[in-house]
Amino acid sequence: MSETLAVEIRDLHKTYRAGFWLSKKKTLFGISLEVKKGEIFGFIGPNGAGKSTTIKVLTGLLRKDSGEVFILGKKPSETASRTNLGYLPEQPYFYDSLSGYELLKFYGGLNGLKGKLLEERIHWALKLVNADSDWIHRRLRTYSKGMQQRVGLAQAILHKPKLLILDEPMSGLDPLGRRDVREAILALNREGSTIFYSSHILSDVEAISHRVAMIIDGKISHTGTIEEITKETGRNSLEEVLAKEVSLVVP
Amino acid sequence: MFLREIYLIAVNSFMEAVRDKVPYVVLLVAIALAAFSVLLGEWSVFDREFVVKSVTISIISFSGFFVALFAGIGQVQKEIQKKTIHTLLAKPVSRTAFLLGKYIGLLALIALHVILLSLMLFFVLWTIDGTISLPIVQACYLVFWELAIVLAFAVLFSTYSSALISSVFSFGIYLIGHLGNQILKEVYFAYRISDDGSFLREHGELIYNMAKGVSYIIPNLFKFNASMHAAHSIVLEQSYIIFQSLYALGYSGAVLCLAALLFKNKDFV
Repeated sequence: MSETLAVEIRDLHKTYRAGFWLSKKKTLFGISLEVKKGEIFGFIGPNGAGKSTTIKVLTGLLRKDSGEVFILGKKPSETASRTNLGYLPEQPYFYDSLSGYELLKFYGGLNGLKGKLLEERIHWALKLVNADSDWIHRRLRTYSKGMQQRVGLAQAILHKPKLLILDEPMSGLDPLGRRDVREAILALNREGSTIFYSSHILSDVEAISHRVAMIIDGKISHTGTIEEITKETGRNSLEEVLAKEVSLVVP
Repeated sequence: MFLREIYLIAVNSFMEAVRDKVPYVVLLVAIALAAFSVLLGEWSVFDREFVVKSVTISIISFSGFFVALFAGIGQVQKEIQKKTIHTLLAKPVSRTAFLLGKYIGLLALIALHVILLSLMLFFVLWTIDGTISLPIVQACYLVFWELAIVLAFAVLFSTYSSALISSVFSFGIYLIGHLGNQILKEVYFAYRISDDGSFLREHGELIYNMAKGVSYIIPNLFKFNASMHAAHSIVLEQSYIIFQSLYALGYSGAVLCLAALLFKNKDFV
């Protein structure tokens, strides 16, 4: 594992067991990719391509079949690999009997923060995601999608992680919400965090990513800067590249 | 850090549980039944105090079983089904700490349930001029440890099966744990009185030994039932109380270790 890499995946395979008979369904077919420290790395692909599966393997929620995976030099099965990791799931679900503020206190505690530092970080995170309003003291069950997403992002950044993994951070948000999340990602990156995120919103990916990986049907089809990918494929945008790749796979 | 993780998850788990309606419903039903035991005592041929003590302690055990079932299975399953576990396990929290935290938080709920109902029993005894003696405290204390074992099983089953299947399995453990000794005695009795040449006479010893083997594996929950001692005001020996506490602690620990082992490589899709 190189010192300059925040994420390293080599020949990763993953099979699910699903249904009553636990039949096997393979979703990742030997993917490899590297995310350098300090990068904003976009992970794109159609629905069911394997983006969330890859992210869940990185966060330790799924166990790999084979291959090698490193998060800041540590294996995802090690608890220590998540000390400097922040994660926002695709659809964040929280304890709806808690308020947003109570939830952040709980998660901050699990990240080793306490006392005055925890209070300061909560205020800092809420301000960054534009959520420092009265509604943060309301029960989470009353929150809209946008509010949940903001709280979700706030809980992921409380401990100022070195690596932030965001699964579809902009999905379901209105244009203002998307702008806030985009700006939060850029601000965190300026403060030194590496950002690895998946998204369907290619215009946002093109606007903020340093490099991108495209996953189609469980295999990485392209990796590089947006210019490199469009040049290599002779297309004008990521959308065109993705449309072409999908058309080659879908019968 | 490991202890702090467990503590935080335990507190969160306890708070989640006390915000749920189920424990209150069970508690109210149990209080109503305990109050009803006074009437039962009036109607019964037995002494009223005897009936109140034995019935209420059984109610504490059975209602506590429902709290352990709903809270234990409900909370772990809810975390998995509602995917709150995704955010939680992406923190520097080990899966073992998650399970232990859940267990300890819910054990605190069970303790609260047993304490409240024990106080209710003391109150009922006080109203009927009954005696509040050490055997009652001992019986309530043993009920807590019995429920600690049941809760560990509820957590174990809920890590790998649905809420319904986990409930059925947990109920099975509670039932067999209480009746296991009786079943063993019945098997032995049937073997002894069986006729020569009958199936039971031929294979009775094997069946008895198999039943005995199973009885070593399943928890001896009947040994935690001291309601009759309490009803007759017979003080249990301290060594028995200590042994049962250690047995429950060891048994629960072993069940939780198995749960942690199964949970270690579980995929959270």
